[in-house]
Amino acid sequence: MKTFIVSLALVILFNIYTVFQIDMDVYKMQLERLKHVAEECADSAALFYDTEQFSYGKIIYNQYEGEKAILYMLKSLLYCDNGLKPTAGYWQDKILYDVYFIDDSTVTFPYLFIDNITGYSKYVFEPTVIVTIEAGRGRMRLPFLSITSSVRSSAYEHIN
Amino acid sequence: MKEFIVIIAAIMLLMVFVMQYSIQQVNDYKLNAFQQHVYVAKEKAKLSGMFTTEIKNELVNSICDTFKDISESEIIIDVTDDVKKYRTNEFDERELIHYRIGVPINKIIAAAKFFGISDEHNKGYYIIEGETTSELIMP
Repeated sequence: MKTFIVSLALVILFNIYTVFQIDMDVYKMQLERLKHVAEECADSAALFYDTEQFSYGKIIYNQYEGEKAILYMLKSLLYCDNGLKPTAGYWQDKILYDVYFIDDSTVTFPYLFIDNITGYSKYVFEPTVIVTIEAGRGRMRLPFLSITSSVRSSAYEHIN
Repeated sequence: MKEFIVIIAAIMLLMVFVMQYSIQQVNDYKLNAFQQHVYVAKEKAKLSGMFTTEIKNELVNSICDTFKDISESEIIIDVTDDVKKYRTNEFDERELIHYRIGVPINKIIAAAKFFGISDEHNKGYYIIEGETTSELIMP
């Protein structure tokens, strides 16, 4: 009986480990995908700038068009509805995002950028669009394992 | 003797978890590599305005290098490859490059036959689908 109980405990332990490993692998992959989405948003938003100002050597982002592009990309790539609540895919919490248009109209370079969500800071030397996405909880099946916040950030920089 | 039999049975059962761990590691490595291949192809397509034949061939070759157990015909490549998309001054959904790329995963569960799972049911497709803006300037 003792051997049976020990064996059963081992099977349960291995089972928990396998579930943990699969959940973490999927989470890691989805985080990488989230980084690609942040990159896509920053890249898409940085494509739109004032062409007249550009002819004077200044980059001033068209924030209206940039925001439109970011919202579209978030809804499309993370399968969200208009309120940015995922309707399919991996993520389940409402998607929060911050976008920073750092250009010649708003700052003087070099500029010390501090991210509101992550607290990450860095000096920015060229016009840059930074997008930070907070996707919330990961899908973990083990009750004692929970990740409540998943954040990825990406910047797109215009280098002169 | 009774304990010995229980231990042998338990070890056999535990071996399934060890094999599952190995398969999981291999599949995870392959899927991460696949994600990276799609990302590289997508970045190239942004610059070209669409998935050119060259980009698609490079993608297929890199996928086949990673997934040795699949043939080219099994790879799903459904992408914008007929009309070039251009960078615009205003956001325009019609100028986005679409892609839907998938690969089959042939072994998901280890010792599938032991659990009565057929080879047909022990596989699936991993698909990456999305859109990207074109950086190609209109001539």
